[in-house]
Amino acid sequence: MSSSEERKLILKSSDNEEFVVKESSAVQCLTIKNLVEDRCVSDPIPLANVDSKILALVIEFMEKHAETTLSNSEKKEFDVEFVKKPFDDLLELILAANYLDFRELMDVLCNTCAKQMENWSVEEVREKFNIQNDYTVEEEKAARAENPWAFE
Amino acid sequence: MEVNCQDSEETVFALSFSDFPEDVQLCILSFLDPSELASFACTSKKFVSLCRDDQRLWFSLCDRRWGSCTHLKRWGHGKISYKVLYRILREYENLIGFWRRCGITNIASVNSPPASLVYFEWGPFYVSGSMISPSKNGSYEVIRSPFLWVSITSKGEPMNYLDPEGRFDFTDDLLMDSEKGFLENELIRVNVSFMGKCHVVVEENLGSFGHGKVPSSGIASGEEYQNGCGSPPDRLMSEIYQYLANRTSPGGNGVSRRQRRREKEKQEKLRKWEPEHFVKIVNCSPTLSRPLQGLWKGICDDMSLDFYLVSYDDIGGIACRKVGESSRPLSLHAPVFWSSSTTFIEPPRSPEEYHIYSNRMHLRPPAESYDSGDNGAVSHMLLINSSYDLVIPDIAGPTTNPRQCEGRIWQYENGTFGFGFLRDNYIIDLKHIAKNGHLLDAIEPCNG
Repeated sequence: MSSSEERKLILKSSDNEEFVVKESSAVQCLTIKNLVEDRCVSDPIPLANVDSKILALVIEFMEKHAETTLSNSEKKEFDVEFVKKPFDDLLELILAANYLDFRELMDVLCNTCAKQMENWSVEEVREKFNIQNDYTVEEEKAARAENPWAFE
Repeated sequence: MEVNCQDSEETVFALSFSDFPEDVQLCILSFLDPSELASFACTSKKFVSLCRDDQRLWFSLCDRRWGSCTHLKRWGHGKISYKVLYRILREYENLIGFWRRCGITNIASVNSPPASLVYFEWGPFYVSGSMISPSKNGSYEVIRSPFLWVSITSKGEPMNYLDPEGRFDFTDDLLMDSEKGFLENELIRVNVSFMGKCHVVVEENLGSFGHGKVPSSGIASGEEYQNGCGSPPDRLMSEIYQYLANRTSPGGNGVSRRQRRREKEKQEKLRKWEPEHFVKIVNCSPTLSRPLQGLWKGICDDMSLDFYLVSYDDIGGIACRKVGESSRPLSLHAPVFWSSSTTFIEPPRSPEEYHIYSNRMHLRPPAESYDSGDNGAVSHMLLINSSYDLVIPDIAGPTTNPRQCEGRIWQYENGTFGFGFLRDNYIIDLKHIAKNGHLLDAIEPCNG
């Protein structure tokens, strides 16, 4: 039984559910990696900002991407299916990925969000992101007309 | 509405963009393009300054697209905003790839005839254009002679220089000459004008005597030119005539005709270089559905290296032409080979076909120990012709009688192919000129 590859960590979600993961997968999250390297690992590691539903998804992504036997295109196929989730779940996953400092997951999620935003009107963007419109009617008209960043 | 007692701060169930840490906000926005960013700024006044964040957001926008190709921070001596840089790089990225010089009028160096194949690639803070010509040393090497630098000033204005005879061995330091003594004296300053995505005009910038009406470096709407690429030369010629006709001479209303003529003559005397037109070679590489497509190089029967362009047409056929040193439009050349069908003949081959192939000599560089076996076994075959003389179809069936076809293409396992004709005993094996955007086997011109 080789010790380093098989070393496991226990992650505890905000709602006290515990998940066992391989250390080699978990260190893709720099937050966890720093804890391990600084030898500050408590058993289990409490993740106060991530609930069990989201943590389970993060672990699913984490373990898939840690598999050395998979090719890049196979991982991309997995990513395409992985992001087919309700938009609110994607947002929660983004926050979790940010908290855990999991760059790869972050990029995949943000890219997905951006792609979805491409097809939305300004109103739809507001709705999905729960943004309060603080423009007056005239101000908004002016902002839309100005469009300083749209290049022909 | 559930409130999780563990999350003491979170009282709102629905997540809002404003609640996200700024890093997260910037990460999401960095995947958008400028027009989507403008739409996003219209959602709320709060995000306007975020969308204008140059150092972080606009840098990310540039970095995602071009960070791996070029040194973003060095463009314009690092003095231009990333928002401006984005617009510039988006325009310049249309240059990247292979182009053909049309109607070469400028005399190149004494040692080599003007090359018609040009390759544009990313440099650290510029785009460089090089003439690509076959080497004369009997190998597969190609000579790359840089001659054009497309860059910007620290104010974000275009700054392009030409070295038509390839006299100088350029280092980045030379190009960054801030006193511009070297640049202005030894090189020719030029304007690079985009006429759509597939056509570029390079002409001398004559300063105050310069053109009254030069098309801006902005790109005309791409769609109308998309279909024009690879179209017959007539269309290109009419574009060229239109361009020349639109140029107004210096002076304007109220200036006498004689004065205008004098100024024009002065302009002509100063001119060191005639305008040149470049047309993009689209479809430079093979694809899954078009495995023979693209730019290739091969040793032909006079044992010299030549360049070939293989194109698929809209009616299921294919044609190959040499990309040589002639300035005539490509389609006026007789094809090296052509076929009206691109459907490969599946293995196994008949004993007769096997015999046709196995008794041939593969033309390859004498100095190198190229083994034709490196390409792998022959996987597929195609029947080809070399002239446009009438080929009488077989009355009995739809396929052409193999004995009436003048030649064959043999596709190898590694994706390359060779071709030959029944009239002789050779196979010309073709290799890629470039792979994944990188020029293969490139050498510098030996006389500098």
